[in-house]
Amino acid sequence: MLEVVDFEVRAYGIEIRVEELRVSGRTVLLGRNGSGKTTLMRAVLGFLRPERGRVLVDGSDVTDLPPERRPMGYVPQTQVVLPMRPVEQLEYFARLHGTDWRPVAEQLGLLEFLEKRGLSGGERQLLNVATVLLRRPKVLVLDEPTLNLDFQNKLLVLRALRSINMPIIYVTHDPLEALLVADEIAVLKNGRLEGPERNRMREWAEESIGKFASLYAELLGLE
Amino acid sequence: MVRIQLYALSVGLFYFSFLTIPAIIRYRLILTNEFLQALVNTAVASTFSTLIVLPLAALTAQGSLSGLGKAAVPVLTATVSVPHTAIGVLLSPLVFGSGTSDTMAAIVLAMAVVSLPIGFTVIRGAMASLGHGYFEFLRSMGLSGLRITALTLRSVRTAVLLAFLLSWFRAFSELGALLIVARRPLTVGVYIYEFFLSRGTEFVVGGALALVLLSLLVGFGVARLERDAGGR
Repeated sequence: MLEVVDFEVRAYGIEIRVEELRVSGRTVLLGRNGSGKTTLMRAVLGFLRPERGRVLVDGSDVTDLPPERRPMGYVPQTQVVLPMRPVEQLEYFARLHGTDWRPVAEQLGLLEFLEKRGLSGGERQLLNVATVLLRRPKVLVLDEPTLNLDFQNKLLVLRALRSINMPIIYVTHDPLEALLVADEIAVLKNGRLEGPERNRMREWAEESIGKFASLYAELLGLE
Repeated sequence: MVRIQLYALSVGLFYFSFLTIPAIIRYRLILTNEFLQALVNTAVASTFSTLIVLPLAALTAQGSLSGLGKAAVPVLTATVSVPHTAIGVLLSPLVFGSGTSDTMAAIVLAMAVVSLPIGFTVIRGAMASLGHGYFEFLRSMGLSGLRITALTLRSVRTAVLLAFLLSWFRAFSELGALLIVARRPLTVGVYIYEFFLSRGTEFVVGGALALVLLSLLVGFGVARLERDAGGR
């Protein structure tokens, strides 16, 4: 579980305060562009120094640890392209962390495009999520992982994320996406975090998107 | 669109012709043995200088992307706007004090000082274009130090090659600092300056043209690399 307690960040002209945030399932951090979602996450991950407050992972205080030593995985909103083929990327980090990449790749449905040279945006994000999982983090932070992805790629990412069973903070500006993904939703507004509150509309959102996806597929002549 | 492209091509051709045709028409083209020897000296010194500069530029570029390291940027790029004779003067206490004036070591030192900003700027620009998300991703993967540097350099490898070429040619074309700290062994810039003064234009026009043609070849190479780099 991730706990952010009495936390305050000031950076880039934004001031953010979080009294308490506990993440044990999928918590969506929802907010408008420029509201400070990424700034808050970068501080929680240790890339920015908070004015005050603590970050705990499974009860251990990690506030003073550098990012590389925190048991937290991070996929930033800009798509990271490493200088290696997808399978080499997984092999490299699996070797580094003494693990096997195949189960993770299988879990996220990556096996079919591992030998490809040019990955789509969604495939690239999934590859990076898989890479992060190889480190066996205790918390996963996904910053707008579907940003600039087309509808099908969004669905590809969202479907794969369902298979991950660990505390996740999912940052987005899209309320509908929040409804699809979240167990709980916290809203960042005017520098204050409101919530999180339980997402009572996921079934409705899934059903609605399901209908829309069918129509979309029909219109495009897809299966 | 085509018109502006034609305009750019015309300016390029005019620029080249403006530099070369009057000299070709007016003078006999002579390449002396001294010039060829100076060419070899300059190439060797430029290579040593670039081999020193490039790792330094790469490490400094990475360090300068965030935090306190950013302060390195104005410091390392300041010398670009300083006349290189001034740099030579500033290097002279070190060179004369160590008894290395008029040696290959002094030439390499002067070349390294003037070409470091070029290599640094090219590599830093490419690294910055990766975005801070790239570095944060690697750090959150547990990587630090040289592992991040190694991956980053692979990501910007075309820019590193470009930085090598540009640093090499910046070193190769150095004159100002060399006039102060190392006139010997003879390098091409010093050769042209000295032989122009002592024997006249005709004696050095051939060498000057050879240098322009050589640079033109490199210019095409650099343009190709920039195209392949796609901003990196």
